[in-house]
Amino acid sequence: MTPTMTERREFFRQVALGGLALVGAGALPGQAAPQDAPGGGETGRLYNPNAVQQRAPTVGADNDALIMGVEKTLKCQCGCNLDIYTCRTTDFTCTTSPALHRDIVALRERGLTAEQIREDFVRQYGEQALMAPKAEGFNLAGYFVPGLVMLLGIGLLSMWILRRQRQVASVPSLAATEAVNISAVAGATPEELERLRRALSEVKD
Amino acid sequence: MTLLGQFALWVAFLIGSFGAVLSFSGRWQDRPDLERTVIRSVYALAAALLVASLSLWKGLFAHDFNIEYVAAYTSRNLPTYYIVSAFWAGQKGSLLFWAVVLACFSAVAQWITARRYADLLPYVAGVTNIVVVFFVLVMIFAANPFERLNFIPEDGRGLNPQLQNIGMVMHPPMLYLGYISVTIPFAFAIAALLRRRLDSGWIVAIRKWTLVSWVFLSIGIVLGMWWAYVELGWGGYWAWDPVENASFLPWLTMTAFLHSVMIQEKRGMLKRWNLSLIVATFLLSIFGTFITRSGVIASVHSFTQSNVGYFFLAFLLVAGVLSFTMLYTRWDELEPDAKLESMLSREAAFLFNNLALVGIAFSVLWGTLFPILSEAVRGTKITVGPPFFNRVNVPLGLFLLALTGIGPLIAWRKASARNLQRQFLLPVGFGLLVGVAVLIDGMRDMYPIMTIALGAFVLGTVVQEFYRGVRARHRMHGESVVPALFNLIARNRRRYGGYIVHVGILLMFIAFTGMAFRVDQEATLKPGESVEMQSPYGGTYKLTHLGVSQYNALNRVVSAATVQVDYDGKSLGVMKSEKRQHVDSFGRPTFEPSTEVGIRSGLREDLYIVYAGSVDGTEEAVYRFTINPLVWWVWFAGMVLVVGGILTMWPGGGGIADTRRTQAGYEATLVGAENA
Repeated sequence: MTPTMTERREFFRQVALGGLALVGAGALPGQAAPQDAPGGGETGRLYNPNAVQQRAPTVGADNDALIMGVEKTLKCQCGCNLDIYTCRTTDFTCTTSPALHRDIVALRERGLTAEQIREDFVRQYGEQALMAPKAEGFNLAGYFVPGLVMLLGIGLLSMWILRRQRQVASVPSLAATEAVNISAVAGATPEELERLRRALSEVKD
Repeated sequence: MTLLGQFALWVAFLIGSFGAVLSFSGRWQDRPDLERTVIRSVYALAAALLVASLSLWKGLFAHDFNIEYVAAYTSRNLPTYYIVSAFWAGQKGSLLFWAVVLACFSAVAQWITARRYADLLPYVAGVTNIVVVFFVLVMIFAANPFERLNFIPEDGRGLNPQLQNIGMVMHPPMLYLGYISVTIPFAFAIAALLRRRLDSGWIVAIRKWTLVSWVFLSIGIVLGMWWAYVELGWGGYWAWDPVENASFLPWLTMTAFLHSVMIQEKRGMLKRWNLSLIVATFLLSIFGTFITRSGVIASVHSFTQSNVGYFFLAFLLVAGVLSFTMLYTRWDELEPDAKLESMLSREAAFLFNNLALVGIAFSVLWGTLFPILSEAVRGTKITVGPPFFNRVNVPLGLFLLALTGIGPLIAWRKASARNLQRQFLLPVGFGLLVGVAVLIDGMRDMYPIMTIALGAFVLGTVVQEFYRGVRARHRMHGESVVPALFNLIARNRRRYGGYIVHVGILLMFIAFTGMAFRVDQEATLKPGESVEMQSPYGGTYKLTHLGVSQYNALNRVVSAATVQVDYDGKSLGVMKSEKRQHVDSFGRPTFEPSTEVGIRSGLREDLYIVYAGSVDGTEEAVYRFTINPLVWWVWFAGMVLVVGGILTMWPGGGGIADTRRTQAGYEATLVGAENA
């Protein structure tokens, strides 16, 4: 084998490998592909995919107003204390809320109404699945006690003030007594008193 | 340094206990040397806890990962300012922070309080020492920040990414300062009860302290809202979480106190009520600490569950029983100096205002504890979340907003029909006009309409008060508008600072209504793809995904997704939202990737962009876009609120002496003016 033949074979081998590499790059999408220019339309692979959460593409049901509304009234069961919608669109580390979202989407696709979806969740997870308890039975205390306490407070306070008002009205006016004393001691003229009265009404506190 | 820190804690415990025992033994009475010893124990306690704090900071900065707390909350590559904030990032460090700040506040209180209240100060020292000693005890026996590991990790875990935000550097200390400083008014109240000095003197001694607490708590709450909005990525700022509620409760009772204390100062009334409010505020601050640290109620941002909560529960019960027992035993000595004369008086309006504030506090507390009550009564676990709190509290809040406008306009003692007409005609007319205008504009949601109309009414009352004040100064002193306005505020900071606070509150109420018109949309976009969103104001946003860039920063790998934003065809620029994978100094991931939100804030609405993640590790990005109306106004209102609060507590400008003189003038009715 002459050196020229060896060189030729080596040349063809390199070309073949290069061609295979090019074909391979095309066949394995994204692998080692250069970053696209912004807005270029192609989707390149991230340099470090593990540095971000991997997500499923959004589907139409994700933006369904009814589903979003229902999710905001149901609690995520991961222990975060948030509603399903907030949990699945906030932390993105939770695996429970996306699963619950899929359940809700499935229930919706079966034709259930918002109320029926909520009832289904209560059957599965108990009453704590609701972000606010149903206004029935003992829960009524939760809803109405603050308002009743406030109304009771307003009633009692009003009665107390009115009783005090009556007590004060039944004794001679301190102000009237003082008024006599002031006019006597100050010896002010009617004009001076009128000026003082006007000034007081301006700087009323 | 941990040895020094441990030693300092024990020294603090001994000094504080000694000072408290000596204080309550009463032996210092007629013994100036012992009295001085009690006071000095406060300074020594502060010094010991400062040494302990410096020891912990030394450990944090020296990366002494053998200290369990240092390893749990820092890493070698943590930026310096977050090493500072790591001090209060965890349960143990925050307990030390609480103790040292309270000890310092106590020392300052002893230092600056006027000598005319000297007879109260040893008891004040006793109360503050007890509270500090309690925190030191919790540290020594249950949550020691100087606890060592039996090995030395190569690097620490680092600070939770969500705490690596400037808001979280400032929010906890501000909130703590608010919680902690309320101990000083509480201590004065208890001292007044113990000393049986139950005139209004102690009120004067603590008014500034209460305002300081209120301002710090307000700053802390607003900063917490801001942090939740910019950092947590859920697009809101208040979720009625138990920990949020816990900070709101003492704020409400303290606000009630700041109103009712005016009645005690002016008329010598409501002494019992004011003492009860101060005690309740202190107990609620401890209750908040209990909620945050016990894990008894599920919360998204409480500390890890631990037995520390039981210490706080026990302290809460003991402090509550002792305080109210003391109040009960002095009940007869707290007779009011004057009687309430009319339903149509400022005193009555303030009482209703107090009722509303305390009623809201009760409602929030009720909602927070209702899951426990339900489980105890029915054995059923329930959730009490934002829908419940909004339903129950919004009507109460609107009642309070109305009273915010009514209170300052009614005359003291008794308002005449003429007074009412003169004061209310324009503001009520303005409120109705605005209400009708928003109805005509097409708004149909009842609560937002009521909020905006009531807000306009309150604004009308404040503008009217400023206008009349400026006009009076112009007439009396010939001042032009700007100097008259400046002098008006400067000479009565308390009154006009209060009005500015009211403006802050009404702006906040109106800004809250924006959340009713929030719009959310999720989208998955490849580079170059767009999605459109309708603004509640009618315009259209076009959001174009440009791509995702990745780079390494000091302690994280950043993936930044960029979005071109256009509004009705006009370019608004490029926004970005990030995913941050935090790593330790060896490049090892420390937490799950966290989100940095992109926010374009405007007077009308915020555009809020969250990069949720990528599809199959590509640049195809999943986004959540949110349009949040009026959020900018929440932060602006918070600033107005705080400026008003600072103005109110600024020294000088209409203190108690001026108030008394004014009162004397009003108690008199001039001859010939009885029917005016």
